[in-house]
Amino acid sequence: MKNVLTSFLRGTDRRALSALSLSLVAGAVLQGIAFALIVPIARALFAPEPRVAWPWIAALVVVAAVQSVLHHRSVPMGNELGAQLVTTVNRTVSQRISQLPAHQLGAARSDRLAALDSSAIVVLMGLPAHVLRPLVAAVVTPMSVIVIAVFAAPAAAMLIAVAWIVSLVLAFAAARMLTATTEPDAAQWLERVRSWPVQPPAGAARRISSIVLPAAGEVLLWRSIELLLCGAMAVSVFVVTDGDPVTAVALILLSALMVRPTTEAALLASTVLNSREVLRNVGELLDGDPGAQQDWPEHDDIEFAEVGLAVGQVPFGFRLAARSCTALLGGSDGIRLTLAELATGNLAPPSGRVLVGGTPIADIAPGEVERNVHWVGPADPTSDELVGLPESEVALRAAQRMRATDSTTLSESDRACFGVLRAFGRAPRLAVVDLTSLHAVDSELDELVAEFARERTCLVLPPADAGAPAYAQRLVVEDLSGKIEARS
Amino acid sequence: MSGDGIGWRVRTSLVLEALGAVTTVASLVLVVEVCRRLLGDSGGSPAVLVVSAVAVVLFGAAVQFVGRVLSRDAGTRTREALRAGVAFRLRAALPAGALHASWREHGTTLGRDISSVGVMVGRATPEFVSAVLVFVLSIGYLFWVDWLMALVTLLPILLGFGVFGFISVRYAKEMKVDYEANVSALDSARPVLPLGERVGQAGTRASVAARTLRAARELTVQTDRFGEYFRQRIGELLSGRALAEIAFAPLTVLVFVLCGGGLLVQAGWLPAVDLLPFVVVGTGLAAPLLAITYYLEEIGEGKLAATRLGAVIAGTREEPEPIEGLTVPETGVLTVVAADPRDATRVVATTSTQVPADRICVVDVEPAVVLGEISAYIADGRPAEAERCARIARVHDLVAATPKGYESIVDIDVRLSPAESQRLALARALAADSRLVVLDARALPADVLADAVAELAPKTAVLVVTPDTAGVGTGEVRVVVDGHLAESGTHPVSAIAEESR
Repeated sequence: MKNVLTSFLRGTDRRALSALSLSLVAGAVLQGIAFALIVPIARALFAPEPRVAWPWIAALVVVAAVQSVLHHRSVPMGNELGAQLVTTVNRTVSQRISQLPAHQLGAARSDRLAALDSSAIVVLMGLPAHVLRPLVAAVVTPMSVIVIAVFAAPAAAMLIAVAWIVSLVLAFAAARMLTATTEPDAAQWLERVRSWPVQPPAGAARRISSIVLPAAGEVLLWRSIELLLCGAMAVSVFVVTDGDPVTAVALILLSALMVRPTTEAALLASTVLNSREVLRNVGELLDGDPGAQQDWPEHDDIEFAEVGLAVGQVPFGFRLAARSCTALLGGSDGIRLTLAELATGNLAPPSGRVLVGGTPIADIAPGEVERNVHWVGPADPTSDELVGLPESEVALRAAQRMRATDSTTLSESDRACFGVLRAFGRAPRLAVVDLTSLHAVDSELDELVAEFARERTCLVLPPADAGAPAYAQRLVVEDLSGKIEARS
Repeated sequence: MSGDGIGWRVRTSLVLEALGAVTTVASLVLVVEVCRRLLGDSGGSPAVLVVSAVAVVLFGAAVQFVGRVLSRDAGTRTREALRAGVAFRLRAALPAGALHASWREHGTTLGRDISSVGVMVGRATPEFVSAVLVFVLSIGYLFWVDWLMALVTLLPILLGFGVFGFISVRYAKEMKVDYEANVSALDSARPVLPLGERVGQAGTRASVAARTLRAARELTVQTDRFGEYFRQRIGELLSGRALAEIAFAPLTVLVFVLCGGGLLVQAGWLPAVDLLPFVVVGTGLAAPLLAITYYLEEIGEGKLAATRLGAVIAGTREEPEPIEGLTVPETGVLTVVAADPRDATRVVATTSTQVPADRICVVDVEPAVVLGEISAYIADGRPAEAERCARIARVHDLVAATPKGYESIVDIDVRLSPAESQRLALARALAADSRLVVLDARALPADVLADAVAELAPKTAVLVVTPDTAGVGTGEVRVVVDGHLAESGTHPVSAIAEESR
């Protein structure tokens, strides 16, 4: 979570943050002063000759009014900071994602990004204005009461300070217990779905850490406040007051009021935990290695250098010449597609390297990869116009037919055709043409792919049972017995 | 989910939570009584009461701890049950079309939904019950002490409610539509991965990366917009909420208690010592109220999430409009020619709903979702049958080439393309004991389809949906055009089928 706070502080108006902090602290101090006024008020009210101490009550009203004004003024400041927090955090997340190589942008990161939805954003926005205030008050209000008590009753102040320190230690212990375990997020549990059984049976250790500790934390947070109040009551009765029951009652009332901000903060535990989950998610989104961010090489041949697809597998290698078209044949679709994903940087090999013009593809800036690499497959037509088509008869004829065809009745071959037509507009330097979902390639599509492959480095993946297209070199993948070998 | 022991845990935890709430109020009442005894308002030693208060707090802590353990356990079990339910649904033989549709609708929110339901069961509900009971018991006690002073204490809280009400009305009248539109725009920026991409089918990584990148950019744009909207409109509304927070603050309640109480004491309508409960208990009245608003939000979210998850786990299939005259065959092979893909999809959907989900296998045009061990996916517990069916579906060579063969786990030991997933789905259909097998010819090569039909025909009813007459074999034939049954007959098909192409 440290990286989230760092990014927030870097992108936030420091003066606004200082102003809000000052306002919250001042409000909490004023609340402490107001609570301390209960002592003279109670002493007058419960004296043997009772009277209502209106001057003290008037002072209380004035302090409360000023505190309320501060509270009211701090809310817009908190809202502004909340909006800044969200926009800063989301911009940082977006920037980080745009710097990451494609192989780090898998489904898990996508899930985490999806979790940054409106609910998460509203939770973050509410942090400075509505959650921070009770948390600050829970710490600062008792502190200010202690400071006041030092001048009025040093012995009482010392005891209150000890109780306050104990309560802080207990609150810290409770917070540790509440955050001792984290539930797997969407990305993590969906990964587990792949292997059966979905969840291992919960062991005793897991139960203790995921159930007993948070439960103990919740109870400790809440009941420690009550126990402290009881302790304060006992001290007031037996130690401090020295036979003065009115002072004892006044101190008990002061203790009861002092714990109120802490109670308020304890009641927000659930909201704080929700905020923590959102911040944890943001923290994970900010993780990742952006790589060396190099430019796309001028000479972009593709080299698989000692690549292994699994641990212990015999490594293999091959080279695809720049501006050449190669058909990947043989093996399973899964293996061919995996090789194509490695070539385009969408997967990182477990061992070995994939180089583009001698540079590891993971080290090329993602923007450069996005501009220069394109995965072409069957696509649904969009309202976008087809642009960048070559002046060749085959492309223009196909485009004309696509425009005339009802988009809801397209076959898989038509969709593939559309995918290739749209790819002309992207003008990639390296392209994969994935035709594995087709049963066969008709002549129109074959000609279109040939036209597309002419000006770039192109990997074509024909349907499983189809042969190599005439315009492409052949690269046959053997993946029997877990051994992969590519031969031209 | 009650079968997982969740129900009794929740009920018991709520009872214990209620008992805990009673002890919370009781300990405060004992604090008041200690003060009364110190002031000589009632007889007896305050020491006994101090010890009693400590005992009540410790008892409350013990009771609440057991309650929270149970509710936390219930929350964890709920999450586990939901995860297992979703996993089961993803791995079950639900027609891929229905599964993909369900995923498109709810897939992105599944993780958050499961968490929301867990929070509702394990945290928000017990805390809500506790907060409500503490408030109700406290207010009951204060009315018992002095009803007039109780009303004075409640005054700021009622004012706070008034402000809340005013804000709610203003929100509903002026901002609800705007706000929901902004929230919806924000949510629409999320990356929504199709199921095939989510489970990591080979060849989908480029699309996943592109979607994630696009979504990140869009999220920035929408967040900036939402931030601006928040500053201009919602911020103003929340300033109003600040007034309610001030009204609920313990300091405000204290001011009302001392000012109102002072007047009542001075007028002789209230003994000074009766102000004690209002200072000790009254100032804490509003804190649970603010918390209740947060818990209600969490419970509301949890309920919505439970509804969405229920739809996914139950595999609720939308009833498509039936095609008049088209019924599923009892035996034999029925071929439906539907040149328009929309007709073909409708035929698959309507026939799928005519047979119970556990008695039908569908090899749909949408890629099958294959998860887990290959042998278990095809024919759980029958490895020989799994291999036999894989051979017919022409997927045996692929499986045999992997290091672990039929024990390979998809996407961990072997990555499959959508087409290969379809072949495994066909193998599963061949191995299953179904009442009906629906095969969409667009999903399979003609020779594989023909072999599958030949294998299936003697033991179960088969419905083949095909865009043209090329793959039509023997048996009954129906031709569907524009959502209507255009012709029925036996092979060979009439000219209508040819014309419908």
